[in-house]
Amino acid sequence: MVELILFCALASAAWAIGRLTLRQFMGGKGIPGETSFSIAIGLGVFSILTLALGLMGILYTWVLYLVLGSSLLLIPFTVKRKWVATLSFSVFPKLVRGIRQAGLVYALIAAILIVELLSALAPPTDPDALSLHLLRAKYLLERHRIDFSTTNFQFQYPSFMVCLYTFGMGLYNDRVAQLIHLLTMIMALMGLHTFARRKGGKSLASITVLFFLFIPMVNYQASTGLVDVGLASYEILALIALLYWEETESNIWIFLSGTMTGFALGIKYSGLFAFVINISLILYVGFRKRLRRPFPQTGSTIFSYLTLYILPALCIPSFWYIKNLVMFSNPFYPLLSEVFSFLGLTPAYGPGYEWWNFLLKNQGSIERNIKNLLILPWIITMPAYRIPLNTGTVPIFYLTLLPGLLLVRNIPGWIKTIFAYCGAFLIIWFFFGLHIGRFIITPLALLSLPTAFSALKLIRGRKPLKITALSVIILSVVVSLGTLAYKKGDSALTGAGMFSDRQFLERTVRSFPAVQYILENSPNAKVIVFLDNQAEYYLGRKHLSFGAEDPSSYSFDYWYKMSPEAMKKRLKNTGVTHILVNEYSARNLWIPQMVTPEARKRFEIVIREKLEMAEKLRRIASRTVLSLQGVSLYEVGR
Amino acid sequence: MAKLNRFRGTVIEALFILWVFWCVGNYLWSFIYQYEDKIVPLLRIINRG
Repeated sequence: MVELILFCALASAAWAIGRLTLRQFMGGKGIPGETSFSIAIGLGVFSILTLALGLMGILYTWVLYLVLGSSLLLIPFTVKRKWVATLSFSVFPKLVRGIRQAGLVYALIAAILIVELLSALAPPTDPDALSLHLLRAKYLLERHRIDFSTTNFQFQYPSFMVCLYTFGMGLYNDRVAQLIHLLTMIMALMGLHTFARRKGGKSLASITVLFFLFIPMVNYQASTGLVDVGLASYEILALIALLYWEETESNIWIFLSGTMTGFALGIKYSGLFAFVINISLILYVGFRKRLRRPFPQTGSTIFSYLTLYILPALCIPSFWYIKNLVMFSNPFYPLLSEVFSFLGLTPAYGPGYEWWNFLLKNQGSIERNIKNLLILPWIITMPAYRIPLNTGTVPIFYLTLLPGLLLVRNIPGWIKTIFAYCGAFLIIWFFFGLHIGRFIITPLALLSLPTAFSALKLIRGRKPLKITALSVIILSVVVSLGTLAYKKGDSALTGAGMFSDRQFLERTVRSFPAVQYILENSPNAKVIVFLDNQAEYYLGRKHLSFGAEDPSSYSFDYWYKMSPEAMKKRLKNTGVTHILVNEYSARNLWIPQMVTPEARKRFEIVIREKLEMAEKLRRIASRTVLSLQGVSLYEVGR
Repeated sequence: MAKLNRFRGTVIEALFILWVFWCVGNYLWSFIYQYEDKIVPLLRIINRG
């Protein structure tokens, strides 16, 4: 409950800050998609404030509450007169009318959102969230400042979302952080809804939103502590702002688009994809307009358009990039190392980097050649080739309706622009990105617009087409709700209070019984965790592990090369009392389907080394405290 | 000419419908195929019976 109240406070404060800023720049007139852009800007401000607090070394709970409280004071200024009246007399009836008119679709959307909301209230369990984003936020809060330690190279990524999560976790707990991720999705939903409504009416808007929610990755990620839906949301808003610019020719939209891209670049390096494509889009539109007639109103040139876009896009995330340039001679550390050593800068690398770089190059990718590019739609959707989409084998049914656009006579310009954007995005991702589904949430989400457009046209067409379209939509609904229940059922029930957090964690986190044992029976234990990230997060300060405390322990090789005696000595010297080994995770290391034979061999070697390590650890232990489901907790002898 | 256009339209529509159901069938089949190890013995039992 407290989480929900804090979340509402945070969302409304973000909205107030963003709205005041927007009004300052764009005047008091109704701006399309104002709410979503306001929340986006507000969240950005919160992230930058957290960064500033971290740099000053005052990341304390009371400071965060002070920040939240003072931004809540802005709300009355934002809605000045009749704000109670606005809320109760205007918004509510509108909502009710909307639900009554588009009944079933909005009811479905509401059902999906409620499941997401509830599952965001369950403890985090996603391995990546626990080993990177939330763990980093936890470290920042423990130290009360931004840390510049170089022990974990993954902590050097741009950290816009981590700052937001730090804010949320600092206020109360990790559930607030998960709710923030959900909020970013909702803001993209609202942005898409307004845009679709302006272009094609209410039905288009509601079906677009429904399709957006059907994307299995969105479905899964929105209520976790990952960052990809946040990234996609900012990229979507950036494109929508550009489309508004094309329509209204008001240059402020370019600036807004740049701001959104800036936030996206602050979330992940792959924000660069959107940055590059948006620049080409601006160049294209700029040149086309100049051919048709002189530049509108101000006589702006393409140069000024580009400046308006690039300036905020580069300034907002600059801290993270400049920091990496200064510390490692590479703004994109640890990526693009070849480029920066080619330029004469020699980037510094932390331990463990080599293995990670190898993983990056070989992880589940399909061969990057023209033939595979041409059949990319096939590869993305067809089961035999499917790129791991974080979904098991759940297809994106509704995309099959996309070719229905071939039957439509006059396809509007904005759909063509979206197609061009998605095409360019997919091509860049195919050649330079990591072949994992979460990297293409943006194009898939944007494609829900043309697909909804096509679906509506088909429904209004002749009978066979109508039946086809409706059956695909119904099947999508059934499959999506099924997946949602399967993937999120447990966490949603936990969020609703049907299961306790403890029961949920016992079921989903393999090493949780060991963690629980330590927390309950040996509160002063110093544990070293091997081969398990989830345990690290839940053990808090009581562990010594891959990362922040001790640089040497980060490297697997460091421990692997040691003899059992030397290892025992080293462990004792560091004051370690327990060892936690997750042998299960080593045994089940994911060997992707389509890596090269060499990579597969290397994976097998790594698994063997890890199991050898587990065996060695078992030998140096003086006593087995706990051994359950492939997770063991040992005591180190005195 | 109009007749030809209408014919072409119908062919494209038919192709589109084929495409959709082929995709959906493919998806569903792949979903069922996951449980191959459970389905195949079941089919054998049914056949024998």
